[in-house]
Amino acid sequence: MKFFSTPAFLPWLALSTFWAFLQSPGLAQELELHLKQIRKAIDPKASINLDDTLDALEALDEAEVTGDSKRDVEKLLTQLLAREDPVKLTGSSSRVPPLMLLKAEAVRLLRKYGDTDTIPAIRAFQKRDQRKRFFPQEGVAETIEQLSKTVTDEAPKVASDAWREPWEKTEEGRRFLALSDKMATGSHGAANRARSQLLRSGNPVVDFLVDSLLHHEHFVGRRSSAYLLGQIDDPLTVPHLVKALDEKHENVLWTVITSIGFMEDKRGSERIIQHLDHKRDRIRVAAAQALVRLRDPRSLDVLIAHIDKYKIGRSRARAAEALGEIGDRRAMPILFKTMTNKHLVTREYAAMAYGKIVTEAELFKLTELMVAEKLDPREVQLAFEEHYQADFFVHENVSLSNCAKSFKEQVEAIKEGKDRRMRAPKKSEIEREVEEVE
Amino acid sequence: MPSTMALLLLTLGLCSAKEPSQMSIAELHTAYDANPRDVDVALSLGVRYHDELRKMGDGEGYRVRSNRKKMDDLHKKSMKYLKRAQFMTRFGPVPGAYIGSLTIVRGRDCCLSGRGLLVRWRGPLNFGIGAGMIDSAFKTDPDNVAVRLVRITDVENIPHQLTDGSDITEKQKWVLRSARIKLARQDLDFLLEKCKADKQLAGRLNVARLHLRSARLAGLNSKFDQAHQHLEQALTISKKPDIIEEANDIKKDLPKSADDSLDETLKEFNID
Repeated sequence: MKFFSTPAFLPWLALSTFWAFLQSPGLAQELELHLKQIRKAIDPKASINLDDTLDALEALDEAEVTGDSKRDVEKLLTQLLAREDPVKLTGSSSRVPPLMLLKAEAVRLLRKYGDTDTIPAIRAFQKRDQRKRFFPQEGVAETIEQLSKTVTDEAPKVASDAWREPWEKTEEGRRFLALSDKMATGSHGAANRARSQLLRSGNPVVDFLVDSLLHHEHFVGRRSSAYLLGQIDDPLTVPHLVKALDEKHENVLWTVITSIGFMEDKRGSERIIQHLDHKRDRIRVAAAQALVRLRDPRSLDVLIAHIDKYKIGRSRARAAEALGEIGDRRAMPILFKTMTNKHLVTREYAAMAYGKIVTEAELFKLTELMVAEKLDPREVQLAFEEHYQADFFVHENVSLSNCAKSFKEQVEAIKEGKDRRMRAPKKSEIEREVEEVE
Repeated sequence: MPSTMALLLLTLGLCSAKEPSQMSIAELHTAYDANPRDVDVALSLGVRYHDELRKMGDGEGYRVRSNRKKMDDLHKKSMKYLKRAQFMTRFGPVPGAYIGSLTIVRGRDCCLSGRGLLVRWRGPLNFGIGAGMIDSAFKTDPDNVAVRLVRITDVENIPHQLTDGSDITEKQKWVLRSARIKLARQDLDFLLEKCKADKQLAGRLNVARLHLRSARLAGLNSKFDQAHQHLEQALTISKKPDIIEEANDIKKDLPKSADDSLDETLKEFNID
């Protein structure tokens, strides 16, 4: 105990901590250690410690492995699934055959990674080992089902090269094809340059982009084409963009919806409305955002139902905004209800939309409600600002009744031209005389 | 029946014969719906909305504040059609110059919005970006008359409020404006030279009015003798009453020399 109070203790502590830091493996080294354990399990000549190998698999499950490392892990796991010779153990034994135990863990990990390329290896394992004892029947079946579902849901349609043939006949077409491929598979900078060059190619590129949107083999190619068509804003391309709403890939679909919204062409609204119920939140947000720009009265009922149906999500804020843009008074009850709920962003958008639709008398009733039901003055302020298209002020530390009074005063000031910022400058007497004479 | 068809074709022919610059906005929209790939129609629509937007603000703060919504709408429409024209001309200089001009107008509106510093600082920023766009359009095609005209008109329409924010120093304010005025004067000199060689262009641009514009800008740049020369030339070229009236208006506010101008300034500050 005396050592801890000696002056030599502190340098000793610092040195030992530094040594421990030098000895501890980094993330990459740690991953390599786990992979080494799995390589041992694949090697028919090596003997393994079961606990260490299971620990390595568990650590891989917890770690966030991405990119090339993920591919390395997947490769090793598929090799492990393919092993047939029993493993030799050095330490503790297991009731369940150790190889089957490891394979079950490997399948679980592959399911987590969700790479569809590993399905054949899992199927082969199922075919070969399903009659063996302790085969993880349910786990394997579920994994195959889940991964196959990913294939049918998200993988692009198997595309053919046929669409390229007409473009390969001309020099310009070949240039477009090369640029679109660069756009799809090139580096970030190269893709950017390719997009810029396509955008600078004038009207001839429009038909090519439509073709690329519908038929390009790579989803980034289709997505970039959708983006460029949105930027070009040619009304003749809208039917093709609407057709592209059948797209399965989420990112492409998002871009197509956004492009149609950007073009503000109502021909797309009927199909976009259907995407308000998409399983992914970001697609629902994009659809609601597009409907804000499209201002289609046909979407009224769907938007109202949407706000009612979803209890969370940014799409509700956008739906409220869209209702304000449409300006139908039937949306008022739901907007008022949304204005007073607990989500700040949705509340504010609903307040602005409410301000666009209501009459002046209803707006004053809102101030009374604010006092009676203790509503947040911020929302009432937003409603007033939208209605009068002017800035309103809420004074801090003022009671709600005084706040309501202040809103009324500010409205009167705007109407009487007392608001200096909204008033025409005073004319000099000479100017007025000249006007009268004229 | 054939006669009806002939009449219809004739009517269509007459309609299509109309120049886009002479069409009303409604007619331009009809023409755009019929053929969205017509560059002239898209450009005319963009320019028309751009001019409307510039007129609506007109350097008066209260107009900008009370028409905020309409002006946003006009800006959006103008940008839409100008971008269409820019795409169809493969990033040609004229739509690019108009987009730059639209950005400058947007800068003016930011300054006049009556909003706080967070919005107002975008005024000089937009001004810089817009001026850069016009200059790059000019570099692409220095002989383009339309681009030169856009640059001149923009300089004439830069409101003093644009650089009048409390977040910008007096020196910066002066540099920003005077640099643009110098460029506009160079453009006017170029156009006047070109008009001497090209009579058709001279008829289209109205040389006397170009001299008046030169005189006004030379006055702003304190080149009073040059301003007087331009005024005299304008009066020798045209005897039209509106030109004479405008020349007199300019002359009234124009000091004879830099000395006179200094005297007036000193008088304003009561310094003898």
